[in-house]
Amino acid sequence: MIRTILSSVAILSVTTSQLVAKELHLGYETFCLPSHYDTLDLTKGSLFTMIGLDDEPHRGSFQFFIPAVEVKQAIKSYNAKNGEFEANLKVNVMMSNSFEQERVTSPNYHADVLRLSESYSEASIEHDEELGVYRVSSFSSPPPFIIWHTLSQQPFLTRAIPDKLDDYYLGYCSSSQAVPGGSSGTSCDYNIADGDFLIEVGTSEENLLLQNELTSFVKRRLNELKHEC
Amino acid sequence: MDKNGDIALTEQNHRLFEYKDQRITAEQEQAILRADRKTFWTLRKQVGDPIADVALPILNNSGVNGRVANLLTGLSNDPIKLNQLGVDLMIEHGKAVTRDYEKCSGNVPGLLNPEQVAQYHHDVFLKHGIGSSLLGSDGSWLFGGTLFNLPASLYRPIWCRACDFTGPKVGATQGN
Repeated sequence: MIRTILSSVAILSVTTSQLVAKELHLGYETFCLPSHYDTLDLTKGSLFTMIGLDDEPHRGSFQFFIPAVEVKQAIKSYNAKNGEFEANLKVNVMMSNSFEQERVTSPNYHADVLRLSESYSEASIEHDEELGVYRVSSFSSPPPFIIWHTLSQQPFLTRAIPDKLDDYYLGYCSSSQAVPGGSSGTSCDYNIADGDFLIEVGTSEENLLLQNELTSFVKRRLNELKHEC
Repeated sequence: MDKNGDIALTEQNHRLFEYKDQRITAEQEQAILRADRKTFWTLRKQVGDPIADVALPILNNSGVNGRVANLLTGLSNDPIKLNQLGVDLMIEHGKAVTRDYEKCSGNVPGLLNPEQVAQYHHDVFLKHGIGSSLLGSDGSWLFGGTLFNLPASLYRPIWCRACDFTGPKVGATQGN
């Protein structure tokens, strides 16, 4: 019985997902995503204000992945491989306000990581000479880390905070190397502000070095998606 | 606060006393490093992480929810890949919890809301190709409260009553 229901749902989902581009409404904007973008639609939350549901009904988000080959076409130096996985580019678009945007993109937002203070007063640091980055983990284990922040500048206690967040901060990362002999790869993300939205961009650690190009690409692509409806 | 100036007691507020410190402890971290899902989720359950109540039946392949969840991954006959998927979800949960705690998101720092859970499931499922055999898609509609791509929060009463809310950042201050 369950299999029958699932099969029906599967057939319906395959049919709809392959034929129709996804039209998503967030804030005052409408985005039309190609059907081959894997999409998680969490925009409809704003319709519900019942007890027991989220308590901030104006919020909402959607998340999609741009295939690595498409990113590679736009940014030649983008590495389309992430370990044994494809380095598909994650784009999470959230409704936001100016206060939250200023906070998250402020140069002070990750000052504790750069200055090794608060949760990072006893942090472990790893310098990757090949990538030219510094990894900082608040966890007690030595490298290789499983969860860490990646910086482009060396962290230390008296470090002056740069004028812009992206002058020193690249992203928040995790690895799947905990599985013995298993899948490897890194999953990193960082935030950008664009209009009414806060956007989380996710890719491999290596591709974080292309942050400026990725940011421009994501903003351009989102703008295009508004006009593809 | 309610209209009388008293602290408004939502169901979640009422449950606040059951939450302990949600930070990833050294013991939990070691469990992640060992890829020891059982210890990790057992420890998370002890601090009141509601996702542990979802994860443990899946890990033990017990109960209707646990068995159906494993069945729908399409990996039931491949315990190694199924475990890899579970380990990656554990790592991403630890990452999301740490970020949530450090940035004081929602009502309870370190406690995830249904959207956050759905988002990291989406990420990990796509990476592992879960659901593609069933749907020709990433399969994220199956998990994280996003069944049939409906709002994650809609399923809160069913699978995650004690999850956090997408409220304001409780610790947010200008310039922080």
